[in-house]
Amino acid sequence: MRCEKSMFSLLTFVVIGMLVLGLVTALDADTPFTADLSWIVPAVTSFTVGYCGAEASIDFDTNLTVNTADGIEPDCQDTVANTSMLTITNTANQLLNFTQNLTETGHPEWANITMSTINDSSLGVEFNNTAISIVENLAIGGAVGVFLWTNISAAPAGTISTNYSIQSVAT
Amino acid sequence: MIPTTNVKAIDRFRQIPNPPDDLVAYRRDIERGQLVDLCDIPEEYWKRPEFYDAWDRVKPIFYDNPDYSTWGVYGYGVSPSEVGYSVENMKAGDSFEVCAFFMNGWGVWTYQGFRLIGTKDEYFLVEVTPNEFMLHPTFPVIEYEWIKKVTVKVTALQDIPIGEYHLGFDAVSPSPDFSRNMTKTVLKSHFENKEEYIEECVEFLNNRDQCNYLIDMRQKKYVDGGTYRPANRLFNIIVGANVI
Repeated sequence: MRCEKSMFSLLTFVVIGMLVLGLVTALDADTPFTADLSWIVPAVTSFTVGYCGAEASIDFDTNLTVNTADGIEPDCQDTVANTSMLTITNTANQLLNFTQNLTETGHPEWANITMSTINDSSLGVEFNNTAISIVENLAIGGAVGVFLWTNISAAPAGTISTNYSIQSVAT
Repeated sequence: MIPTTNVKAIDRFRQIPNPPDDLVAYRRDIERGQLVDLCDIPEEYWKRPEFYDAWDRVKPIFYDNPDYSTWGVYGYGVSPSEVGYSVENMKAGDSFEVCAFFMNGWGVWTYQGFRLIGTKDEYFLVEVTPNEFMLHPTFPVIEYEWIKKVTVKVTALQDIPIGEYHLGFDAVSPSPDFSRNMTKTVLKSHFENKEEYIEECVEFLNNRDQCNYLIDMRQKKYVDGGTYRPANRLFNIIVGANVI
C-alpha cells in the first residue's frame, strides 16, 4: 500500500473523481499513479450554547408551585427582562440552521413544551421528539436567544427528566 | 454590555504555551494545503487559539466583550473537519493515520467529557486515540487542556477496491463511569483567580452580589458533552482508493 497526503485543490479533486469513476485505467510503470493527498477546506459547524445566569441545565422547578399551570418558564429565564434560557452562538465559518427536539422519552403526557426566539409565550411552538427549526441562516458570529415554556396539567409530584437536543446544519 | 470601568484585563493565555514567532506561517501553509501532516506539529502551535481561523471571529464575541449574564456550558469542535486521503493497492490489514485537534467550544466555562466513535463498515475500521477524555474551559482563561490532538487510525478490513469512501468519527457523551469520576476530579481541583473573575464580571454587569453568585456557581463544573452537535458527521476522512 502506498499512502500520500495532499491538499484537495479543485483540480486534484477532479482527478481523483475520474479515478473513482474508472475513467483513468491505464496505469503502469510508464504512467505511474501520482495521487495527491488532500486537505479539504473545513466546513465547520461548531457552535456554543450558553445558559442563563448560573444554570447548567434546563429546570422547571423554581417556578412550579402548582400541578396545573400554563406558560411556566425555566429557572433564570425572564420574559419580562428579555432574558432567554439559552443563547446559541454560531462559531462556524458558514451560515447555520439550528433545530431542536426532545430525545428518547420526549415529554410526559401531562406536559407540553414550547419554544420561541421571541420573548412571548403566545408565539411558542410546541415540540417533542421530532426536530423543529430554531433559526435559519444564523450569521457567522451571530447569536440567537431561545425561550422555553411548559404547560402542565395534573402533574404528579417528583422529578421527571428528558433529554433536549440541538443540532446545527450547514445551509 | 460595554464596560464602564477599566480593571486590569485578564491574561486569557497564561496557561498555554507562548506563541511561536512563525505560528502564522504554519497556519498559512495548512490553510493553503502545503502542510498536511498535522501529527508532527508541536503543541505550542496547536494549543494556541490563533492557530485556528475561528479565533478571529470568536475573540471579539467571547473574550473582548464577554457576556457574563450567560454561561457558556456546551460546545466543541474539531479542526480540520475534513481530510482527503489517497491510497493505492491497500490490502487487508494495511493502515494509515491522520491527526486532528478536538477542542472545547469557544467561551465555554465547563469541563466537558467526550467519547469519540469511529466509523466502521465492511471495508474500513476507524479507531480514535484517545477516544474518551475531558476538555478544560476556554473561559475566562484558556486552560492548558482545552484541546487535544487525536490520532485517527484507518485500517483496511479487506482489500480495498477502487472507489471513494467516506469515513470519520463523531462525538457523544462519555460512559457513566467516566462522568462520575470526572465530576469528582473536577470538584477536587484547585480553583484559582476567583477575585479576578469577579472583578471582570462586575465590570460588565455592574452588580457585585450577582457576580459573586455567578462565579461561585460556575466554578468546577463538569458536564457530559456531545448532546448538542452538528447534524452531519463531525470529522470526515474521504479516501480515494485506487488499484494498479
